Amino acid sequence: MSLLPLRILAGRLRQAAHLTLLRLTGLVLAVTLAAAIPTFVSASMERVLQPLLAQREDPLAVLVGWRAAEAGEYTDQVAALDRYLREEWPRQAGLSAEVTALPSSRQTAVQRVGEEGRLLPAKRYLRLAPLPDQGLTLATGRWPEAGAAEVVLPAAVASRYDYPIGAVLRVAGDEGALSVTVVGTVQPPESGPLAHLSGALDGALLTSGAFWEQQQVALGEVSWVLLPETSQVRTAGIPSLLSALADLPLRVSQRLGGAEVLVTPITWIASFAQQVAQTRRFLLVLLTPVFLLVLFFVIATANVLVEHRRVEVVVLRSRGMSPLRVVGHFLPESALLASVALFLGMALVGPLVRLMGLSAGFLQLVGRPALPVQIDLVAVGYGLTAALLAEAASLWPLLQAVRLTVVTMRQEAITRSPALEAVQGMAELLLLALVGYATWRLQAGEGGGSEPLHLALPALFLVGAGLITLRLFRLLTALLWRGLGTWLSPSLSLAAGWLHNHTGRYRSLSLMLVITLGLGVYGAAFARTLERDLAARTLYRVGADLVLQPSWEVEVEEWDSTGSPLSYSYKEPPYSALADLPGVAARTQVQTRKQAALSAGGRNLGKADLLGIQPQSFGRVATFLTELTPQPREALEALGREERGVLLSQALAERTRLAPGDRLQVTHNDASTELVVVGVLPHWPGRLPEDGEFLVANLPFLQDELALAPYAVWFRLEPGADLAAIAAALQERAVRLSSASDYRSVLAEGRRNPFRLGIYATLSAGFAVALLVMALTYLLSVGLTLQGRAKELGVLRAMGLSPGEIALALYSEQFLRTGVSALVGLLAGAQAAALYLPVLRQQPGETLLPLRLATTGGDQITLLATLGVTLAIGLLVVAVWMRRLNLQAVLRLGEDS
Amino acid sequence: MITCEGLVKIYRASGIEVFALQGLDLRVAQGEMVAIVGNSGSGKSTLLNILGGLDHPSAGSAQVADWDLTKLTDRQRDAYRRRVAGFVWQNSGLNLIPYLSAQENLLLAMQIAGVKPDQAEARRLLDLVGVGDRQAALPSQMSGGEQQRVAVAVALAHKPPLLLADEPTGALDASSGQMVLEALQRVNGELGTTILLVTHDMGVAALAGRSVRIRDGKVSTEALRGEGEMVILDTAGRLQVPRKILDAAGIGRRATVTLRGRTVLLRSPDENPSTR
Repeated sequence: MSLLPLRILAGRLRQAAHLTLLRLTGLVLAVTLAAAIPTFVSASMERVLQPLLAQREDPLAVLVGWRAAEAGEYTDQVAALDRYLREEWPRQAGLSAEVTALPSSRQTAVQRVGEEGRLLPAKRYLRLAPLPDQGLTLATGRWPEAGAAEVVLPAAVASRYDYPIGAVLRVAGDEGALSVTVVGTVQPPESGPLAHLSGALDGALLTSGAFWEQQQVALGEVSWVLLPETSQVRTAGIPSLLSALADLPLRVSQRLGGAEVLVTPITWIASFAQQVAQTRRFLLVLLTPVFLLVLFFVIATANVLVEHRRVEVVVLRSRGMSPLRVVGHFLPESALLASVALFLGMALVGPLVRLMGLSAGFLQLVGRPALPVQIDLVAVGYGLTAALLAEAASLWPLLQAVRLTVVTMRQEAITRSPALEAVQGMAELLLLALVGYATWRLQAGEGGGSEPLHLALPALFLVGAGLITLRLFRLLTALLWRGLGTWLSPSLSLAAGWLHNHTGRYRSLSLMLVITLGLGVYGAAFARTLERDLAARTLYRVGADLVLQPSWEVEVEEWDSTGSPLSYSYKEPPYSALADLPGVAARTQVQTRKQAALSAGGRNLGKADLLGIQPQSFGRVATFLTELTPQPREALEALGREERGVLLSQALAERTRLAPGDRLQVTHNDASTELVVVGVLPHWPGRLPEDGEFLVANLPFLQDELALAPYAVWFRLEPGADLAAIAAALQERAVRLSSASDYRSVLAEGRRNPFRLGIYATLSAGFAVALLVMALTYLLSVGLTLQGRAKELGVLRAMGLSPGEIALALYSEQFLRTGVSALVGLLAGAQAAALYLPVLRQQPGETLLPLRLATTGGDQITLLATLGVTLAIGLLVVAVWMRRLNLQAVLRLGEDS
Repeated sequence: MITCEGLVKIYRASGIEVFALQGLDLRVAQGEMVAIVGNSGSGKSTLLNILGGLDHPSAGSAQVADWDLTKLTDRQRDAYRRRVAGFVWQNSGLNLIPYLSAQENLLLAMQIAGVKPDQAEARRLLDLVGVGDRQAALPSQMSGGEQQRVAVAVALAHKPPLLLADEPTGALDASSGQMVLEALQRVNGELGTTILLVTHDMGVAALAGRSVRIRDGKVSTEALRGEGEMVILDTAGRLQVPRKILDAAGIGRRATVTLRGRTVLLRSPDENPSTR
């Protein structure tokens, strides 16, 4: 009896096995895709985090300090805090920590005992402290003997206060003075926990632990240092670590009043966490269109499934089942599918993320160590949400169907509500209007900050394009069918008729084709544009193949009263030392004087960076991109002709309204000179838009007129130049450098940026999924058409149309429909890229450089080839099906429907 | 059991109003088996849908047992279908869930109606309609006649007082149809279920105790088994005379009515000008 629900479930799954399988595939894709993003972000950030943690010179250290405000008994409170820091806090932070404490007495007066027991007059204020178990090394003398009244102290303190070995010190105390003998000096370590406590050690007289115990010195100050085991930090654990750090001051002061917390580098962890969150959000938004596509597919399959089961719904309804109960009747199936999808989808996350980790560009993979994939609860949550969302979405067609009864189903077969048509038309118009408005706002430079909208807009644009296409297509086929119907061969006429009359059923497929191909083109253009932007950005960041900054010797000329340098002069290292390096084709000197003050005609024009160049050699060394710097040669020549000439950045020229021919005054480090504007340029090698406004003048003139200042040396390298050979030559010539950068390694570094790799991987994965969904939809719709047309085709054959003619009609229909959709998809994708990519903000404050859009001919061929293969499979299905089509069976089958 | 008076149903399809029922009167007593006959489009299926609680009348009154069908909400309509009406359609796809066996179809129907699913009862019903040996078979494994007989059993699963059958034998050959009709007769006789049977086959109609002919959305004639076909007068005294007879009598839009004793004479006005 209770088996009935199970029998219903099993029967239903078996009855529409292929549709259920497709629906399950959609669900699995949705789950995998949603769960893969957080997992991928965590994993790729992990790959960045670990070396970052290992490289950092200033490891995470938490210092807790306490000083008794007044004398008193604090042992218990100190013990409580100590216990908290050693046990509870690491648990809360989610990692183990090495905790070292340095207790000491209150600061107290110390006097050296001179000859014959007389006290020397100099009073120092020091603290007694027990010697830490480890970490200190003896500099001179020996360690204090256990229990003896002997101390060691830091060597610096000993020499500062003249407390040599053997000196006897009288330490004042609340319960009487104490005499101790200095027996040695110690060296504070440069690393390890005690390195962080050097401040506390500085004023401490260190006795043996046993002596400290014996004397029962009242606690006056305690310093703790917590060194969290940073190798245990995982990206997923960063939030809890941050919250543990943020909570610490309160928790500490709760346990021991007056205790304070000092945390060294927390900012980079926080900013790293922020970057993780930002990346995750960006990638999720990037994937939204694909996710919607999958959702759409799930709904489409569910729709077909419900169509399949309309009769069942009607039977149940006519037996008096209420609409809600009918939905409940189908719910076990949904629940089962969702659970299976969650299970399978989560199992696929690992392989997918590992594959994504191998991506080096759009649809490009390289061999590299696999990502450390860890599927956490967040990912499961994403997957679960996706499964529920997809299942809920697929309930929608069912909710529509349960309103049917036998009567309404028959009526619906006769009429299609014009009201529904109108609503649909209105909705489409509204969507188009919305897309148009948002695009206009974006182009006008408004609302560019709203990232999600910006990333979702291309998808909406594609949907809009698809909808328009569908309408146009209908018109076109009507024309073809009505106007030319009699002129065409029977097959073509038949195909045109199908194209016109069955648009409803094909709407979703055509729409999906447009969107998928459009997304593919857009994604490819996106990735290629990012790639080109990176190359251009790197080029303009570095400026040339190789940039070296030789060290300049500084001499302080004047000191102020506090002993800080007031003015100084540079000594120029010989430029000739950098001549004739191996593999170098040309070199030039480039100087940047930060924040030179500008004025014209007594009007203050603010500040901008002043660059000094040698126009002739600069032209030979620097790499100009004419898209960013149009006519660089003319600008350099103009600068070369006019000694006082200066080129302005466009932003500066627009702000100050200076134009070629105008004069302006520049002041830097108290020296000033007059320059003449000879040109205006948007960008300059070595400068990125976010570096701010700049001026370019002649270096020799600046060095003469303003104070001599350091410059960097830029090199153009010959193809195949060996950086190692250059480094060796520099070492041989004893050239000292303060910095060096080369284009190729900066570019390589930029390519390894997890954010960028994430975008590539997400675009690739999203596109692959979109293709898969498209192929599945295609096959689904081919299958459905054939099934739905069985009777019609049977009649046609009975009327004398040959199988060949019918096949030709089917082929032409598929070809036309797919071809038009594909074409529109490609064009719309390219248009979306042209509209939205130029205004894309990659990261806050960083716009893409105004480059031409990268062409993606190769990608489009890949896309079309994939589409072609799918189409071929579809046509093969048609062929096989036609071969099997049994006329008698078809005509008999027709009776039922 | 069933009382319809002045029942009107108007459909609006593509902006055109179709009068499916135009003031139909019908009374059916408890336990009766009535055949509704008529040409396609005469409104017989519409009547059945209204009586089954699938459609609501536009005007007039329709009462089945204690239920006033003109005043039901959607929810009450569902309850009405669960408690009062059972259906058998011509298309067996609308009668049976294809992936459930005969017995399971019955059990599901019981469950829907809120009756405790009872295997013995299911078996009894299947035996009653003569397909007890096919209870484990799927619909696709049965012949058309067997499917329809199972459909009758399923329609009775929740013991409805009223069984509505819309061309139950329409898709069957004569002998299979005969078995279905026999099953219906047995149900009518043994369970006392009131049965309304829509058909266009006079042979089928002859098996019912009474057959009612619907023409243009109204009941036109009625025949009791063993007696001839009789014209039906509605509550206002109106009657429908078949066009064939009117033509033969040469009656156009107007006629004279004369009372001769207990006979009413209907004549063309041209036949006797003096009566004008």
